[in-house]
Amino acid sequence: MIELINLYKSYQSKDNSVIAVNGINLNVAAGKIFGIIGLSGAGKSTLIRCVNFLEKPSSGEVVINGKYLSQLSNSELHQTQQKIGMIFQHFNLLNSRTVFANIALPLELAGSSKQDINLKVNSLLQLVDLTDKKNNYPSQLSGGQKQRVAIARALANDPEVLLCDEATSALDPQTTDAILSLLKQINNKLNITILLITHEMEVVKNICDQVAVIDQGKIIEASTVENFFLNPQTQLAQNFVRTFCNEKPMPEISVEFQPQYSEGKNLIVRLTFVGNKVAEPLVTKLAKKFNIDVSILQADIETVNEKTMGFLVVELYGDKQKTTEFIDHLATYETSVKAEVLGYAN
Amino acid sequence: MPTNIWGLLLQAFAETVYMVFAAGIISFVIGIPIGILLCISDKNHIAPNPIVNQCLATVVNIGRSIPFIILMVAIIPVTRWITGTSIGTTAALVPLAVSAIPFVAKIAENAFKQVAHGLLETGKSMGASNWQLIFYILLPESRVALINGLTLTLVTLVSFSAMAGAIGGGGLGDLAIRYGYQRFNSFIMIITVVILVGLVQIIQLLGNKLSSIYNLGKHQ
Repeated sequence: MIELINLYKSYQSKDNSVIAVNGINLNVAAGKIFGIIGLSGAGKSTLIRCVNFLEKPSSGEVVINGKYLSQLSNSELHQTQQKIGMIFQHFNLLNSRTVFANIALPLELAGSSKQDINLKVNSLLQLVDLTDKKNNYPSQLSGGQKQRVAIARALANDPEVLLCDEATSALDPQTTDAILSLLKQINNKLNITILLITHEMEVVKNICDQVAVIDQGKIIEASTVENFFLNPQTQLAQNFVRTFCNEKPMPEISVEFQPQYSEGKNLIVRLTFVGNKVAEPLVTKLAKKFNIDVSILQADIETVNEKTMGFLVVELYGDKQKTTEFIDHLATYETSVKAEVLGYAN
Repeated sequence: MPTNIWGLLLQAFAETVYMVFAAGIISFVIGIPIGILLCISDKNHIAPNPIVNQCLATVVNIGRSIPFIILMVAIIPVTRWITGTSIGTTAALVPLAVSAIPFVAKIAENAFKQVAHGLLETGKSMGASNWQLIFYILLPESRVALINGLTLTLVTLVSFSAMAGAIGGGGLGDLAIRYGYQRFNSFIMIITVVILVGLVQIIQLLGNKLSSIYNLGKHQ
């Protein structure tokens, strides 16, 4: 549904040029929720603005539902843009318009009749559960309500694609959850493809099917969300996952970490579980089987894309052969369990 | 003399109101589009065009820097060419409008610039053309600032119109100078001042009222 081909965007200033988007290729299948995560300044804002041509890419192609945006005339582009909804971090509602009139705006711009506008806006108000606020002004709404108005407005022209630019970054955690589940619901109900950018793992975890990591204008990693949590490849992705799973650095252990095994040292291992392996008493079962002791240093459980994932950091007490067997055995679970040796400690 | 003093005042008042509002309307009609052009041709706005922007900005700044009393005299040939005469109330409209246009343009530009860039971006994301951005977003979202600015323009025009009286423009200023100053008629002087103050108060009051109607959405 959304295809980005070799996309570049650079800004020319007096004495230097900044490359914000540096050769991005991306493919988002219809009906999916695709998340792009990155730190501030990574180029994600520019990237999402290139997708609906708010920013014209310096080179490369954006293909939306088979249409090459760069080849459209101005009026064709405006028509295509009407079918690409967008919501923003700061909602961007018009203060001079009521909730109803804000949602009606894209329909007015598209030249819909008064009757159609009435019908459509009222059904959208129901969808986002704001029928009782239709005559209020944005200044009378909470942040979450404002974003729901913005979502309704973005859906007014029945878009095929919804772009979310840090849509929950200005909201508190509870409101974030509510907005995310609304987006998920819209995705299910209307089968709209959603491309979102964020710096919050919470967003990726809750609603995305796929995720890509952007750094310095490049996609450095892309995978399904489960695989992202289970198997982050790059340092940046690992940082995102570890921080999100509340894994703390362990100074009292890490100073004594030694890369090589030596007699009398214990193995420090990070274990990641997906799905029903979380519920099984796997660790204690194996500990008994291989006759080693396990001390849990850190633990966290998260629900990722409706699957439960467990994150453990454990210290293994036992001789080298037994602990190696333990780890090798875990490796046989492949996609559902992952064990990484972090080092050795006293 | 004292018998028709009220008639004189009434006529002068009508002339002042005519000058202020006619010049005001002319300057809005010409100044606001210039303000829109100034705003949107800025390099980070919706229709960047440095040449248009620079030229307009220069003209507007020159216009704003000429003192009214000098402008009024300097453009007498233009006034005569447009209205066929250089004295009288209608003739005074020309310098009044000419001096108010750059003022309005600047005020309008500032009002439009206060519209958050994100709103225009949102409009663009909906596929709005530049015309639509102006009429659906820029103008409605800046209307409170615009109304306040236009009120200020009318108030300024009241004082300018009194000055126009000095070169035969008619109105309350003319009356105050001819009777109040040159004939030492303190009564007329005081009455004209009171009427001018009252007129400014009424304009300001109406402007505030109008802007508060449109401001409903903002601070409640």
